[in-house]
Amino acid sequence: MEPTENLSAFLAGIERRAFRQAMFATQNQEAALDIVQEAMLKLAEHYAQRPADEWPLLFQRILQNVIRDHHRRSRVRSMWISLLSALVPQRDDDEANLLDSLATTGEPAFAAPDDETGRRQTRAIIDTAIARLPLRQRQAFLLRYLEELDVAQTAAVMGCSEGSVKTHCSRACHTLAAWLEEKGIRP
Amino acid sequence: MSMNDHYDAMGTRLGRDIDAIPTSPRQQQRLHAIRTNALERVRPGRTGRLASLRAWCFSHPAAERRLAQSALALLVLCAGLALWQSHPSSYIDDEVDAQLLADEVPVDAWLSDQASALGGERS
Repeated sequence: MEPTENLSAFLAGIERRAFRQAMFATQNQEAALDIVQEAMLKLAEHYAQRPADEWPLLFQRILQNVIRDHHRRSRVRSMWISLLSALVPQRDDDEANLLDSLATTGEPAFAAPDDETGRRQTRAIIDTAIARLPLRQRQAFLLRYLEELDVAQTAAVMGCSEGSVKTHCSRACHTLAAWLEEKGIRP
Repeated sequence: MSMNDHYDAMGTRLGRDIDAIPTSPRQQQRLHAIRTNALERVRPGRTGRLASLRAWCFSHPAAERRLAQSALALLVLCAGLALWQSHPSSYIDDEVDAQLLADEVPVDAWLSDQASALGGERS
């Protein structure tokens, strides 16, 4: 198989999960697609000639770095926006978050297993729960359980110790379990 | 089952649920375009030492930090050396220098014994 074909097969295999990770990080489809694009471009431009078994970890590291850079740019942008908005009179915003209405009913969101609407609602709640996690906990959780990396690989990608990975994962799972049970979902 | 095992099992289940979330046709189309665009950027034969070093650093983040710290220390050392060299301490005897200015010193006055003798005569 040609190297480019190998890379094409690899990228086709990871693009959906990479997009999912970027969506959790940004909650914005366009930003998530930009992040995936940037990560793939960097891998293709700089590391396409590396052995194929190095690509998964390299790509994950690149992806996490691009997500981190995106957050840094967003923080700087937000700082300027909040500085400028202090000069502009604010209007009341009455829009409510749809998912907040789910939180206040107190009724279990999970319907019968074969109910498509119920499944969609459950997925939306799981999405919200994971998006609410602190950055490092979410990174560790998604790398361990979505990308199915082991603890050592996750530590290499995140640039931290294996103990830190276990701590982040444990806290993430604890927070998710509490949040989902509050919403009536048994994790 | 310990709490860690319970959390592990829960994480695995949630991971599978997340993975099962489908992407829309439009998202799939965009991702396909992104992939195609990335593959066009593949540069053949790019296995330089710098690329290898970068790949190694990605795999060893702690070593990457140490490498960066060492590079910074080396840079500070080089800057210090350059600064020191641009301001050398005076190696010219002050007395001979003064005599030079007054045009009273013979040409071979740089010899240490004659310079010392000149200093002796003065005192």
